Amino acid sequence: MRGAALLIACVSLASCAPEVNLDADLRQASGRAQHQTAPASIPVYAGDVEEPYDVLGDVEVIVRQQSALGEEPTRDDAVRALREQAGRLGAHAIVMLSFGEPGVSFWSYHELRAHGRAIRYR
Amino acid sequence: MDARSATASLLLAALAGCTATSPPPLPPRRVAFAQPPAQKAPRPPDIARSADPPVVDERYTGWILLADLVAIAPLVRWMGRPEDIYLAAPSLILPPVIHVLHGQPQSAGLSFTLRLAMLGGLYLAGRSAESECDDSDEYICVPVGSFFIADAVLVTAITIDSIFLARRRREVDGWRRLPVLPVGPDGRPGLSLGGRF
Repeated sequence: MRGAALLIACVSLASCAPEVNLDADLRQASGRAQHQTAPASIPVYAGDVEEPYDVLGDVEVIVRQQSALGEEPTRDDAVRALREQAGRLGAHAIVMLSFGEPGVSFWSYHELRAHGRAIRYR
Repeated sequence: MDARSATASLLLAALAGCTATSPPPLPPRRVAFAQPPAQKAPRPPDIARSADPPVVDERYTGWILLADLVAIAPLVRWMGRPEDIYLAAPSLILPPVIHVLHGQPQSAGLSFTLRLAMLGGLYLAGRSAESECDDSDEYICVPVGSFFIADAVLVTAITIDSIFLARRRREVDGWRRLPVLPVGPDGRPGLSLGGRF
């Protein structure tokens, strides 16, 4: 019973920060990088770039507000999560960034989806 | 309205309440590039760690709910016959087994603990219902208080297990089969051989 109470308390506290759900699609990927890149310095573009590149994968994030008392997720939260996923892949940039309409979902009071293509310059 | 159409209506109502949308799909991979610009775009520095596969977060809520659906009838019978412990076994064992099958032993342990606590709560609620009815002089006894306690215990355990524990983060399949992109010592492309098996 005590364990259950502890679990409930942990879950309640954890739900105050936005929850990030990651997804990735490798159908368009042309290869994988050897090294990771620093996520904070990965540039993000809404459109495409002219410099030749290889595609590492399409990355998607869903940022969710977990409880009525939790923080409402922002586009910055979504971009930060995208950069982390792209950095893990060794991306030089994220192109074609786009956002869905924020709103209520089956899982959350407030949800925001974003995706982009992680690329590495040749 | 039968049970199936009522369930469908409820599901439709729940989905209609969802207002969040997905972004538009990304176009196919670009293969042809015009003359590259004279000035190179800024590149973030590589860090001394091998690239990791992308990860995906998954939920398997449906499997846990299905297990509970299977286990709930014997569990309710167990409340009236606590000596038949096998009636409580599906509810205690099935959800942790599903966590293990999804590669989440930690969640399985938490789920098992949660289920044990739930069974303890239900046992107490069952005994409370018995004593409530033993003290009652009415012909038909409805132990409302104990029913509420049992319901709250059951719903809490199933909600925590299916929503908060039934999820995992795993590598995306196929990443390791992709060819490694060639990079020379000076950062220029070189030649490499890749293959899919």
